[in-house]
Amino acid sequence: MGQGGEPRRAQAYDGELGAAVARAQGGDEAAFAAAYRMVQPGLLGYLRGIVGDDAEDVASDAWLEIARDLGRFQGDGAGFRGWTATIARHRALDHLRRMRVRPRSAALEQDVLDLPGPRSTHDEVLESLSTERALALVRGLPRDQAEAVLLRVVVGLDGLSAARVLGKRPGAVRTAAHRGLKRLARQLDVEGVTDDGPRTLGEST
Amino acid sequence: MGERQDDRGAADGRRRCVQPGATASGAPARGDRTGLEELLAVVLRAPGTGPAGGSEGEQRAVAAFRAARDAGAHSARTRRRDDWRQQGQRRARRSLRATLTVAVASLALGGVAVAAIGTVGSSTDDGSGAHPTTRPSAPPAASGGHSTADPAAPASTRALPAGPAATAEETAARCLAYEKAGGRSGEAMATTAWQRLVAAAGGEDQVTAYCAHVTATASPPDGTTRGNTTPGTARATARPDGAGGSPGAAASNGTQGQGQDGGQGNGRTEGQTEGQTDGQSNGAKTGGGKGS
Repeated sequence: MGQGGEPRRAQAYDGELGAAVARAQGGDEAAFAAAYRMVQPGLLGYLRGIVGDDAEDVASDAWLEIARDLGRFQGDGAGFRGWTATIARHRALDHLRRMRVRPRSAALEQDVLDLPGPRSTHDEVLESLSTERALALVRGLPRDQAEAVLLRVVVGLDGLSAARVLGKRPGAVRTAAHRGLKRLARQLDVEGVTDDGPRTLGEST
Repeated sequence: MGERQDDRGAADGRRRCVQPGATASGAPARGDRTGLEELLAVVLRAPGTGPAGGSEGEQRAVAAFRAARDAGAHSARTRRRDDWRQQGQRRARRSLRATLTVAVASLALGGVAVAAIGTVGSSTDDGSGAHPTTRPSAPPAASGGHSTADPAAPASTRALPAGPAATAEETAARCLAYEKAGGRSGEAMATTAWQRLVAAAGGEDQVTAYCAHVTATASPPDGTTRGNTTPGTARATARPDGAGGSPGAAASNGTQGQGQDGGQGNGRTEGQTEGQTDGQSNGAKTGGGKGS
């Protein structure tokens, strides 16, 4: 039951994030803004994978609740990401429940692709393409796989935290994340990824 | 489900003109799942955090934070779902603390054991036959006088550790309560405090005289109280109690013995402390033997 597969990217900020959250709980408003800037990208990416275009609105709702209940939270930086993801997920599910009664526009907004900033042409093109395509592919996954992949890769939660957010057993979430990633890799036609198929069920990490 | 598939189809169809294959030839060319995860993390986290949208949402969130803080909402109680401290870390921290405690305890007991080795070695010089380990450093005069009473006294002293620690202020307070009760022995006499007072005075009939001394000299709390009150009555009648096994009598006797300068009193005090030390060191030695 190790946590060897946990994402590395978001972990780098956990110490800083934990300190900011602690200061925010003491009333420091600048620290809360700093925590927001550290958490929001992953949170928004997760929400975009669930509710698509409405991710910004749902995230905004979620942050209202986060700001209100911040005093209740206990934990470190990684815990804060899990806590905020749980709140965001509840808001997203509420949103989907409301949306179920009426059809919504399926297309992703165009301005998602219009990334500002001075980047090299190659990177800009690659990331623009990848964002669009990766989002579409992730949203094409079954819900449990998509959420598991997003929580682990985009939000940066470890297996236990992701399982707690989703209210499932850690093993089930790991399996879902693995299958989702495998399927994405196959669809992206990445070489070498599809070779690890036999490890899918036997993997214990 | 079908909805999402529609999304994907629509999106793919819309963006097909911009070379979907570019992704495959780009970042995940390292060819492992980590590469794919890295790509997804970069790609899905990056957009939407542009300066305009991000700052607007940030301002809204900070405003909500400010309102909640000023309304006092941040002192709300932590619910179970708000507690994200890691269980494993807490457990590891606790086990670390337990390990340190065991280490410190073993060091302390080991020190006592080493000290006990020295004590036992010196006791062979005395060569007093009956209790070689119990009273190794007691003066010869003391060991001669109380050879029968001594084995009982350390045991009873250990059984009631709070007794010798009773201060003059406590005694004075008990006396005050005694006088308020009218000097009669009623139900109050059954309490531990009364029994201690009786023991300190040396008998129920001595309490009035004892308390008269104590309360007369209660204001200077140290030194003079003991010196004034203890001679005579307390000691004379408490001795038999100590031999008879009454814990309170033995305890108070030990306390008062320190205030006297007689050879017997000092001898008893030393004998008791030595007996305690040896008792602990014996336990430590057996414990160390098991551990090694």
